[in-house]
Order: sequence, then C-alpha cells, then structure tokens
Amino acid sequence: MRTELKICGLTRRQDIIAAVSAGARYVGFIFYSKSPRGVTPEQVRELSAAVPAGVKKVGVFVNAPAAVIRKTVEFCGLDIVQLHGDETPEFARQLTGVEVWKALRLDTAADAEYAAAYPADAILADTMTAEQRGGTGTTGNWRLAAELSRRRRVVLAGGITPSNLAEAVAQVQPAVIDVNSGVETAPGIKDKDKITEIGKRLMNKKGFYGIYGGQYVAETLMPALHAVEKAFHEFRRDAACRNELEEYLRDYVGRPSPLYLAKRLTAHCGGAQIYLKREDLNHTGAHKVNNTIGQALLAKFMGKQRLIAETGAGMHGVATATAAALLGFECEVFMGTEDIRRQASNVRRMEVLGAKVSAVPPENATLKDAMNEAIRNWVETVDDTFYVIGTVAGPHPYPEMVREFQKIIGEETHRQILEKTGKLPAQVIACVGGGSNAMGIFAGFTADKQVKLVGVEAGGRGLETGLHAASISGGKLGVLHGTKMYLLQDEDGQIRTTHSISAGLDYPGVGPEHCYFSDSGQAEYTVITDAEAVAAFELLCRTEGIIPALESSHAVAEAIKRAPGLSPDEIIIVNLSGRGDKDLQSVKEYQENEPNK
Amino acid sequence: MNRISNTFAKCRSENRNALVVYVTMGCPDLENSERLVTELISAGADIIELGVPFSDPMADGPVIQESARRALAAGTTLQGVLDRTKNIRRRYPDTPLILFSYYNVILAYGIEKLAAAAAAAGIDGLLVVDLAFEHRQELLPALNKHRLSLIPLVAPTTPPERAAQIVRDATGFVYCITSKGVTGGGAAFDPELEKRLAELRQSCPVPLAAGFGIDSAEKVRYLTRFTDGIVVGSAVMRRINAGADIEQGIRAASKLTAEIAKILKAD
Repeated sequence: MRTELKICGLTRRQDIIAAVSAGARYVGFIFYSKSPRGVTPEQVRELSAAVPAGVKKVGVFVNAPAAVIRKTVEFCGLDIVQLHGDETPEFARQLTGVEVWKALRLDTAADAEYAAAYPADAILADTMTAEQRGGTGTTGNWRLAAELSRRRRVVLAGGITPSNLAEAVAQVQPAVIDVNSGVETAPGIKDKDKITEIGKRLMNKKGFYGIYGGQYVAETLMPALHAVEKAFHEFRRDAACRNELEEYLRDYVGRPSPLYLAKRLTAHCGGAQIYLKREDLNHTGAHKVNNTIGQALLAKFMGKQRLIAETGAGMHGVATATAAALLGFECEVFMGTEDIRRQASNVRRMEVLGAKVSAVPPENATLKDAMNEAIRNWVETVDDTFYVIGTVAGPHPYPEMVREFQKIIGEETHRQILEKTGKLPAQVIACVGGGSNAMGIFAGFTADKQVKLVGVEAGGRGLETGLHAASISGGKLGVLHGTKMYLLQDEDGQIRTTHSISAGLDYPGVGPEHCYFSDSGQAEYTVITDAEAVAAFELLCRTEGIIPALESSHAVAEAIKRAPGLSPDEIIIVNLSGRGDKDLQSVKEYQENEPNK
Repeated sequence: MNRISNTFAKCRSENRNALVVYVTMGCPDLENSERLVTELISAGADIIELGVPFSDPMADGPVIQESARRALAAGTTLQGVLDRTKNIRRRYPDTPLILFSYYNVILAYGIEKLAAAAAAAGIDGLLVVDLAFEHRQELLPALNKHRLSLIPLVAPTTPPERAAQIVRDATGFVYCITSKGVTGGGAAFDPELEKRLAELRQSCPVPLAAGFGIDSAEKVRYLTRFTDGIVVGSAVMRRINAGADIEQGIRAASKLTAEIAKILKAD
C-alpha cells in the first residue's frame, strides 16, 4: 500500500499549487476561526479553482454544528469532512453522504480502542506532543498508530517534517500522511521547497525499503551508481539480455536446481517434512553464481572490461572469477587475510580461474574489510570497472539488483513444491549474512501470507558474548558500505568486530530489505550459534550424504529445531545455499578446539 | 559572523588561496592533536578540518586509514573531538573549523544533538564524506538551525549538470576532489581538471577549494590558478605517522604547512 500525501492548513493559492505539484492527493482547509490557518467558506470556494480533479478537498471542523458542516460541504464542494473537536460517534453518524475522518489523540491503549471502533471512514491519528515535534518517531504514539493502521484506515498527523517522514511512514504505514506546520515558514504560510521535498520523499523513495537502503557513498561513486541503475533497467527490459542470462543459468549453472525431500533428516527430527533447495548443486557450488553471471552480463552490456568483487567465504569470489573467465573479463577479488587463511581452497580456485586475489590487511580482516577495499579500488577504477557486489546490501541499486538475480531460487522453489506436494510450505528458512540467498528464496513466497519466512543470523559464540554477526538481532540503525541498515556497532558508531565460524555470514550489516522485513513482520529473524551450526553440518552429512556450507548449516540447524514442533503433513523448506567442501578445515579446527562438544 | 567567508575574503584580499589542513583528531592522541592544530595554524593554515576517526574509512587511502586506526586505539570519540574543539576555538576565535566525519559516527551521536554540540564547540561546518547530495536533507535542517554549513563535495566523475545542482545552494565552501580514488593518492592530475575547476568556479556561489593527493609544490602552484583554497591532509598525517616521535612528527607537519603557506603567499 502506498501512503498518500495530504497538505493541511492551506490558505494561499500558490501553496495549493505547490502541494498538488508535489503529488498531494488531499488538500486541507481549516474552517475554524480561532486557528491561525483558519479560512472562510468564501475563501475556500475561490481557492478551489486551483485544485484539479482527482485531488480531494478536506474541510477541517472543530465542534461545528452539523447544519454548518453540511452547508459548507455543499458550498465549497468538499470531498471529506475532518472532525477535529470532541464530536461524538452519534454526531459523526449524522453526517451522511460525505466521507468523514475523525481526528483522535492516541496516548493510551484505551484511546486506540476508542479509535478502532469510532464510526468514520478513517481515523486521523494525531500523535504530536510538544516534545515529539520533529522527534525521532520511536514514540509510543507512533506504535499505537501503527497498530491501529493494521486494523483500519489511518491518516497520520502531527509533527511530520521532511526529516522524520520516512520513519513515520515505515513505522505506521498509514494510508495518508498529513503535513501542516512541518512545511511552513509561518502559520498558514507554506514553503514550496519543503512541500516539494516531502512529496519527493514520499513518492519517490527509490532505493529505500522503509527507512533502510539509500546511496550513502562518496560523491565520486554516485555517477557510477546512476549508470549501473540505468543500465540494469535497460538490461532487464532487453529480451536478448534476458535470454542470454536464462541460457547460461540453464546450460552452464545447471538450473533449475532440485528441490529434495530429506527423508532421513525428516525422520531423525520427527515432525515437519524437510525439503532442501539444492543451490549447492549449482556450478561453483553455491547460489552466488546466479548473481555473478547476471552482473557480469550487465557489465558486458555496459562495455566494462574489468570485474572486482569482495568475498568472505570465497564463494562469491569464485563465482565472480568464474563469470569473468566465462565472459572474458579481467578480475580482481578482495579478501580479508583471516578469510584467506580459513578458506584456502577457494583462494586456489579463484587463482586457477585467472583472478587476482588481493589480501586485505590487517590479519583479522574479514568480509567487511574486503568490501572497504573493493570500494576503494572501485573509486579509482570506476571508468572501466564493474563492482560485482555479492549480497543484497551495498548502495542502491545493488540490493534490488541482487534480489532480482537471486529471485529465481524462490520462483523455482514455489513451482517445485506445488508440483511435488500440491501445497505451500509452512516455513521457508535461509541463512542471512548480507542476505542474498534468503532474499532470493523469500522473493518466491512474499505473496503467500501463510508461509512463514525465517532468516537465520550467525550467533557465533552466542549473542550474550558479543562475539557474533547477528545484525538484526543485535545491531542498531547505521550506515556502512553505502546503505542504511541494522549494523553491529559500538555506542560511538564504530563498527564492531564480528565473529562467526562461517566466513560468509561474518559481516556487521544486513541487506536493507531484510531490515524492513524484520520491522514489518514480513519475515522473522533468529540466531544459530557456531556450535549449533556445526552440529547441523555433521547431522546433514551423516543422514543425507550432503556436506553443506557452514553458512547453510545455520539454516539447517534452525529447521532441525523447528521441525519437531510441526505436524508431519507440514513442510519446511531450507535453502541449502552452498556446499561445504571449503569448510572442512574450519570444522576440523572447531572440533579440535571445542573438546566439550 | 561567518568565519569561513571572512577567511576566504581575507585571503582574496591578500591575493592568495586559503590553506585548508586536515588533521585526524586523536592520532596519536587528542592532546597532541590539539597541539598539532595549534602549530599548524601558527605555521599558516587558514582553515582546519578536524577529522573524526572511523573504523571503516572507505574514502581514505593508507595514510588516513592508519591515522584513524591509531586514533581509535587511543580511545578517540566524537565527543572527545568536540571537547578539544572548544580549546582550539578559545585560542583561535577567527579560524574556521570544519568537522570532517563519516556519517555513521554522526548518526550514532544523534543529528540534532551533534548540530547543537558542534555549534556550541565553535565548529563552522560539517563535511560528511559518505552523505550523498541526495540525502543531505537528513542533516540540513539541524545544521541550518545552528548556522552550520554542510560542505558539499564535487568529484571528477560528477557530470556538469549535477555539479551545478550540488553547488547551487552551497554555503561555506565547495570541496572539489581533484582525482578519482582515495585520499592521499600521488598520481598526476587529469588534464581535464583545470577545465572542470574553471567551469565549477564560474557557477559556484561560494569559494572553491580543491583537495586529494596534493603533496608537492608543483601541484600547489598549478591548482591555485583555478581555486580559492587548497586542502592538504594525507601529506600532513604522513609526517605525523612517520615521525620517530610525536615531537618530530609535529615539527615535520608544521614545516610542510609553512612551506605551502609560503608558496601560496608568494604566488
């Protein structure tokens, strides 16, 4: 649902024109002589000439007699009556033949109950108090408005400014957002630029998922991002490009990947049937290749000569090196020194594929540091180089682009499970570092409200130890690598060192769309520790003869926990995002160093 | 009172570029940074950029990465930088002080709170490396309220129309990045640079300063033909990091600053 804009308290023709051109679908006039923005019916009738068809006129009344309201509606041609005083439900019921909005304060749960039952077409939730004006939106009132908004049509009003608009919309998800003093220079005198700004923010939140996302990068990269965005949209519309990608995915990657019923694992757990989406069977051994071939084809489409990538576990690095070899690109992959050590076999694979693997210091450097260095390299080489980001994070358009290239996982899975069983799964589970395999499989099920989407973050040694990489479960809002997201950071905004046994999940942030899914409840995010992941790794090896990546083992572990609580006719699908050959050394080290296991 | 425009006006009246010097605050510790800033101003720096260290300085080259690492290891915080700023401000009432930071540190501190605290400490403007022009409204209302400038960046990759848009409402000065890449790169300037600077200066309502990789007298002499100010950062911090001890580092950094100031005055 898209939030519409209402500009209220209009008194001047030029302000109405500004509001309408900024995209406002509602303009409000205050018929209350005590208001500094008060207008007369005569004035409004005259101002109406500036209101085009399709834009609704809202009359605001404060304890006015019903007869006066009816007369004003007719005289001014009002579409909506907004009752802003102490009007009773009985009073509101008298006003037939016109849309009625009722303004109510939401301070307590009782207020919210009253609002839920009030007989009106919409409730205007007035959430402003003096100390909240321009506040951060983490107020209880917004929470009450958000709850009400799930139950009925809500117009959110009170203290909305260009700065807190995005947050207000993300939290409350109102049908309409009502702005008045937030776009004024003086009572009744609107500021055209502020109106334009707020309209732009509401209508054109390109690259944002709620308040998450954006393009927080140095200016040098902005034009490059604009170019990637433009080319990506052309690429998607181009039939030849789409066919080429499909052909590679089918004949080179080996898609569709199978959906496999893990019978012995199911029997071991007892409960729901566990299906595995076998992304580990893709060429290169993980889902990453879906995205790197897509991006490499896009780079070719743009005429670039060189690909760069960051990598943690090395799977994205290998997949990028593979696409580079396939399509004739020069390739450089940045990898943290710590990851080079723990994922040595993937380093060797990248090298034989012809890629240069650049070690990123310091000694404990992981995925985050690799990404820093890739960004630094891109700033320097932006003319001829395409940066292949491996996850649904980074600046816009990457989160959207990577999701688009990975959503084939979800689309196939949706089709396959219906073909095999004739019904949808109860739960879809995937591990989340940056979140590309999870977003890929979730994308197939977002329209199916009955399917629970579960993202599993890396709990490392446990959330309470601080040694983890669970950004949603343990982080707070921040900006890194070009995007606003949940971020593991200290109180000064310095990025925290993360820990996970799985290099691919060892990242302090998480894709902006996941942040939004978490806030809006579209998906649920949980945590699996190193120990649980290794146990799941061992169990899947022994019960099914499948060696999963440690990343994917987190999702397997969550399924093992959940299956016994579901009935045998229910289905859990796990995105088995990659194979675990690369992790044998890490698992061995873990087993040797954790004698209590 | 606007220290930034006053300073550029004064330099113009002396027929020279302003010298803007960047310092990573807290490297090796805040006390020495305060001393360094003092010495640099004495040596001829007209404007100081007070760099707030960040754990992941993506726009910076090895020198400032190392400075930031040292500063964080010494426990430097944004609050600590602001506290030192007060001392510097007391001593130099007229020198413009620009707070130079990555956005996440500001977000963590709180935008409103930072604007108020920075203004109270005597900061004149903010430069936020990774806050794109498109997102400036997240900061501008708070900065405007406290009469702080948001110094915009224009890059070698910025198309002319976008550059014109960026500089249009600029206050303080505009920071023009001389070359693609991170801070402290030593490569020669692109031949296109002078054309870009000349065009930009035409449309720019505020003074234009250029920075990134300015490490030689030749580069200083060349650039100042097209600019109102030049920014030196990595060259200064390189001397701090390379000094056998901090005394030697501060001496070398001050000497460099004095040399560049002398070139600016002589030209």
